[in-house]
Amino acid sequence: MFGSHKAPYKFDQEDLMISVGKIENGIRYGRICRDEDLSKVVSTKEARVVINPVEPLNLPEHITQFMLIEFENPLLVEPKTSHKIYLKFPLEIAVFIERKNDFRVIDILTLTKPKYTMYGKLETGPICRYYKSGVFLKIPSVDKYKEGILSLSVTNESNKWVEVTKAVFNAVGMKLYYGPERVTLKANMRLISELSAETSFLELQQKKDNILAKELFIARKLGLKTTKFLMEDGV
Amino acid sequence: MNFDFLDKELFGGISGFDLLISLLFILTVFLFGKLLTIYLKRFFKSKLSEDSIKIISKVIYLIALLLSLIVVLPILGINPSGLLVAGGLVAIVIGFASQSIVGNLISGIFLLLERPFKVGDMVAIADSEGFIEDISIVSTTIKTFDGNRVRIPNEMVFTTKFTNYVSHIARRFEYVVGIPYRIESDRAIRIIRRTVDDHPFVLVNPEPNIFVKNLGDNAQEISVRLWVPSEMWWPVKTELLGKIKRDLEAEGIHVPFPQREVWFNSPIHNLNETISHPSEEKSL
Repeated sequence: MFGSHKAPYKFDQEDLMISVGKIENGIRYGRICRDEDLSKVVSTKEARVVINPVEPLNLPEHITQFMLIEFENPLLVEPKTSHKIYLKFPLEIAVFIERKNDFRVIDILTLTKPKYTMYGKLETGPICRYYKSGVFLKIPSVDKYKEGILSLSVTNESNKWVEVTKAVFNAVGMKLYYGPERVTLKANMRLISELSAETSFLELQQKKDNILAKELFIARKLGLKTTKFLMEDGV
Repeated sequence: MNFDFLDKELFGGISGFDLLISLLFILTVFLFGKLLTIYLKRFFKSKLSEDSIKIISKVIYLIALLLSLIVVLPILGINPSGLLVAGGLVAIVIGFASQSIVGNLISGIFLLLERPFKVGDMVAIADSEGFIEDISIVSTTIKTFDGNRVRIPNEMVFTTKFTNYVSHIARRFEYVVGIPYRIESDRAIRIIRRTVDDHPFVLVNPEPNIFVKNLGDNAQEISVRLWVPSEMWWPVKTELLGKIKRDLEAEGIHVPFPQREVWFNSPIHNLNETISHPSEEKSL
C-alpha cells in the first residue's frame, strides 16, 4: 500500500479499504477505515496518489507535537551502559495527491485509537499523543498498517540504576522509514539522572526496503532549532 | 572657509552659532529617537503585539522630542518657563478631562507587561465571556460566544477579577450523573469509565476520577471529573455527557425521575385493588 500509485488503484484489508478510481477530468478517492468512510473528487489530469506513514500527531485533530510512549513493564538500566530496545508506536497514514513534485494531503487515517496524555506539570505540560507499548529486546511482529517499530538506544550516563517507564519525543523531526515488512523509526534516549533524560530521533540510511516517508512537520520549515526533548519531570 | 556668519546676529539676539547648535541638537535627538524606537521594536517583538509596540514607540519618540525642545528653546532666546506655566495649566485641565484615559493607558501598559492573557485566549472578564480579540493600550476587546464584540477599558480589566480558561495546557470539568438506587454503582462507574477512556481527548494523565459523590433524594450521584487539553475543553464537554447517558441506557441504566414512597395508615380503596400498609399486611 505505501508508495506512489496511479489511478485506478484499490487496497482492501480487514479494517481498511482505499480506492482511487478514474473519472472524467479527475479521480475519485474513497476509503473506509474502522467504520468511518470518506469520499472525495479530485479535479486533476495527471496526478498520482502517494500513500505514506506520517507522524502520529494529526488525529482526531492536531493539538501537539509530542509523543509519549508508556512502557507496559518498567525497564531497569544499569549505570554507564547502553541497551537497544524495541517499542511499538501508533501509525497514521496520509494520502497525498502528487503533481509535478507538489504534494497535497487529501486524507489522514489510522487503525489505532488515538489517545492523549499530559507529561509534567499542569502549567507547562506538554500534552502528548499517548501510546502504551511492551518493551521488546527483539523486533516484535506488528500489523504494519497499524503500528510501527521504534528502535530505541537507551544510554544510562548516570552512576545509578535508572528505572524507565516512559519516553517522550518531540515528533517534529521524526524520520519514518517504510519497507515491505514494517515502518521503522530510530531514536536515542540519554538518561542523565534517575529523573531526567534527553530523547532525539535519528536518520537512517535509505535503502531499497527502507524508504523515507514524507514528513508533515518539517522542523526547518517550522523554524525549530532542535527536535530533541528534555524529560525533566521523570522517566 | 569663512565662519563669520556664526558670530553674526541673525534675529532677536540669536547668532548663527546658536541656531546651528539648536539644529544639531534637534537632529541628534531625532536620530536618537529613531534608533531608540528601532531598538524597542526589536526588544518587544516577541513580547508585545505589533500595535502595542507602535504606540509605545510613538510615545517614547514624542517624549524625546519634547525634551529636546525644552533644551533648545532657551538657546534660541525663548524662555520656556512661561510656556511651562501655560502648559501646566493646560495639563491640569487635560489631566482632569482625561483621568480615565490615563488610568486605562497605565493599566494597559501593565497588562502588556504582565501578559495575563493573549489574543485568542478564552476568558471571563467582569460579566463578559469569550475570546480575546484585541489588546490595545487603552482597552481589551472580547468576542463573546454569541458573536458580540465587547470593548472593556483596561482599567477595569486590571482591577476586576478575570479568569483565563486556557492559561494552563489542560483543564478539568465535572459531570454529575444520577443512577437509580437499585443499580450497583460499581457497574455504572465501569460503564462510564469505558466511555470516557474511549474518548481521545480525555487525558490518560491526570487520570479521570469517577466516584459516588452523594446519595441524593432520588439517585446515587456519580461524579465524573475529567482532564482535557484546554483548547478541546468545550467540544469534549458538550459531546461526552450525551454519550455517557446513551451508553448507560444501552446497559439498561436509566437516569431516575424524582420519586416519593408514600405509606398510608389506613387502606386506600382503588377500583381494582386495595393498598394497605405493610404492617397491616401481616395481620390480614
